Amino acid sequence: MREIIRFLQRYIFSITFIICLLVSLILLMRFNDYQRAVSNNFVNNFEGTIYEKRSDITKYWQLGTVNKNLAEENAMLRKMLVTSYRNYDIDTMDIDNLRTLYGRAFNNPENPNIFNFIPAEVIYNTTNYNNNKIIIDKGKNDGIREGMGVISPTSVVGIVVKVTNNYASIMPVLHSNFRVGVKPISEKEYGTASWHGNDFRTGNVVDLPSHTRLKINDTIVTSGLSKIFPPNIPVGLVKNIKPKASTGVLDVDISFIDDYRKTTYVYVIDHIYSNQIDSLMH
Amino acid sequence: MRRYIQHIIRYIILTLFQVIVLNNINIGGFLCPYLYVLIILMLPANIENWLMVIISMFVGLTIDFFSGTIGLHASACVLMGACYHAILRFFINNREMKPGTVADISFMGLLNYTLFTLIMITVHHLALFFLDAFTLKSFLVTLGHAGLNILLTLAIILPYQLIFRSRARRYSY
Repeated sequence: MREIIRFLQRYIFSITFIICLLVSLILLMRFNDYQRAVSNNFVNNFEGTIYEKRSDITKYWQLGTVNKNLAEENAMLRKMLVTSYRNYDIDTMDIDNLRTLYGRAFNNPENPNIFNFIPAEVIYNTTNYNNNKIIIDKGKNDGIREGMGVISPTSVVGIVVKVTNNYASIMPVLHSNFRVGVKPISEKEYGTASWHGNDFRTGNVVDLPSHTRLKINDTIVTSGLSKIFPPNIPVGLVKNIKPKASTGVLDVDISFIDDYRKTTYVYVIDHIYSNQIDSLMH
Repeated sequence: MRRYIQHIIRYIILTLFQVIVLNNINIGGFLCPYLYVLIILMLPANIENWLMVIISMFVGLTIDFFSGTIGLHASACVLMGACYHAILRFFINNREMKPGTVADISFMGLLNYTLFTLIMITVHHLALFFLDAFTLKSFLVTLGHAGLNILLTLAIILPYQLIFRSRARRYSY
């Protein structure tokens, strides 16, 4: 006890000084717009650099899963190639036939694609909080803007919320404020998917009408009703269906397709006409 | 008891004077005399150094509340209050200090007092101006502003001291 008192007597000046200075500086950076903006910017850039260094080392630990996912994606894309179709004949195939095969999608100036995909690497990722956070190594300079959607090769990942010059911070699916419009893959009924906070493997879908035909293990995909995500991107698999008699909607538990602890490579979705849509909305 | 009341009254009057009158002076867009540092400089010289830091912070915070810059003056005042004893040591030796002695112009003499105040104000104003700018980009401009403001504050403090000096205990010009 006497040692503690002696210690306090000896260092009380330093302790008070440091505490008072910290309190004042924190107040300064919290309550003044200019100082807050400057310090936030600095901290974000600093954070980004640190996490990038760490990610340079830790990304190798997940290469197995990443390779598997990329291979699956490749297989899916390969299935869409012309050569994978039954009636494919290399001799009669020319550019016009290709265009017929792909319909309006193939390199047609009258029907340009509206979604661009910017590949990025996750440098910071949490899954154990109520409001988790992902930081990726692409920013304003790479054409990323606030409000863009982010997907992994297999599933939805989140929405860009903050952008610095070289980094962007993402509100992931595992965030209490995250909502995405979804539908069962073979139905036309729309609901909203969110995460309730406990388990990073399961989320839930609300607002699906009770007459929706739904089975366990059906895939839930994005509805495509917004400019953030294209339609038919998987979100989760139905795990449990609870009809709510009082409201006439289903309360559906889903298990996420991705293991979000291992999210490493993502695509940021750039809707080419998002400016026009924004100008109509506001 | 009378001593405490004296300090509290000085605190109230100088704070009001600062926020009502002096804060509205705005020479050239950036010069504004900060007379309120006298609240801190005129505390008893034998005050505990940790208490000095805490009082400084609260004096700064009150000014901040009235001028809408929470934390700015408080940080500058904390830095100044922490330097107080280290700098005062060069001007007064401990044996001269009786409880309640105030390090003012009548106790220290004009030259010593001016030097001491100049150093204290410099610490305060450098912290204040650089925290306000919050960048080192225009370092020389900020430094120039701080320098001019130091002179202005000093030019207000010295007449104040000469007018309101307490009953003289010792003169040594």
